[in-house]
Amino acid sequence: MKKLAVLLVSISLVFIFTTNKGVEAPKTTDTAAVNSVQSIPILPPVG
Amino acid sequence: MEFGAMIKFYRTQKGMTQGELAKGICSVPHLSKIENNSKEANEETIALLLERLNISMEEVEENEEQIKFLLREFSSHINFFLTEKVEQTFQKLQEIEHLIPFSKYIYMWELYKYRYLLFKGLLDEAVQKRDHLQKQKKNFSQHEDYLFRYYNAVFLILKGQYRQADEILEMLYMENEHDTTSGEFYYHLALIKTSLEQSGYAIHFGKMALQIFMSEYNFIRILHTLMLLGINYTHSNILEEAESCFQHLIRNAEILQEESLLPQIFHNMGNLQQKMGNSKKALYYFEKSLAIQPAQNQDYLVTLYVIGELHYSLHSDEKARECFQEVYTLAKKFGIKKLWLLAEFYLLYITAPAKGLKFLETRVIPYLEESNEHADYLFLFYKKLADFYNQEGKAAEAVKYLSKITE
Repeated sequence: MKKLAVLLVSISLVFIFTTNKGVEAPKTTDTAAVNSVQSIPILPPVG
Repeated sequence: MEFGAMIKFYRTQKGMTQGELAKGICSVPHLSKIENNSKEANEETIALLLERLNISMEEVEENEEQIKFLLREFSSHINFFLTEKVEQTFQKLQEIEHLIPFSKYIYMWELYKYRYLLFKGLLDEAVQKRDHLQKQKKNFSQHEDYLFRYYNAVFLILKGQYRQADEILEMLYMENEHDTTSGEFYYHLALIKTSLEQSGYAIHFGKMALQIFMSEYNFIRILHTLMLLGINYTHSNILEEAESCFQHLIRNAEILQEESLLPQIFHNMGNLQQKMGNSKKALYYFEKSLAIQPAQNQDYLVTLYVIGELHYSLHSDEKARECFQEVYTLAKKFGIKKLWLLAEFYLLYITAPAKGLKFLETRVIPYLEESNEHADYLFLFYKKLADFYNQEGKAAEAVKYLSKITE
């Protein structure tokens, strides 16, 4: 009975740790990039 | 030196039979084996055969030295971006081309011909040369194999296939255990990383290239590298560094008689000023760039398009429309799809915003997503569409585009 309880607790702990990763923080992006006119560079020669 | 092949070449040129040449020197079968390089002849026999052909050993050795010297010169001129000298040395090499097959530089010369075509931007001919070299690949030495792969990466850069070029150069870089003394190699790597908008890497490799070019006093390539650094500092918001790069370039391009770089420098300086929020200054530099560009090439179109966007952001709709109209016409004529789609979008958007946005959603965004470049542009347009749908109360669509930004 005691073993079964330990087993159940372990399983639930594993379950909690594997599923509760939390909400991932959104990736940030350059705010200037979404708000301003974009730049297209002209590259120097390849040669 | 491949004496066998050389003896055969001169014997045939002089119209002699094997019997006539071999008479009193060696047997005909022996000469035949020498000519086919299946037998190592002793020096004495070779000297006698050459004497009968009126070729001196000294002359042969001189030729070999000459080939070696010119090939080195050629490679050095490419590295120093000395366009005229590249041309002159290539011509000199062509004049003695008939001697090269008898030297150990036969594959090197073929590889350098490939490099020459790339340097000149003759891509159709370069494809033929590449295919020809591909068949010889198994005969290459380790160094020749390295050069072939490196030149293939340069070819891909010229074709705009930056990801594939990046894979090759990364592979070569790893194989060399991250150690090369070639400024060219780092420069090309920085150029690729710039095109892939990986500014951090581009700055890293650009600085390494700059260090080598400076130690070689390779002034033209120093200018090119500074331009790359300026572009990437701008992209990474390291604006003061970027400005000092461009100011240095403006000062020195004229001194070094590299005026052909000035339109590109002014254009990139315009981008920087725009990023700094100085729209008027940006417009000044873009217009300065446009004024000295030969009309109707791709750079001209890019500058004109950016001026259109700037006028639009400054609410000069009529001026913006004029620019986009010209970009649209020229881009269609040259088949530069990205620019004609963008110009068409703005032309629609200025007169009928909703229509413009529909076009953006159905034509422009799918094209940009597929071409897998200019992530910054996509962010701008996703934001535009998200704002539009938000105002329209269409939350699901707005969220769709906002989540694309954070993906």
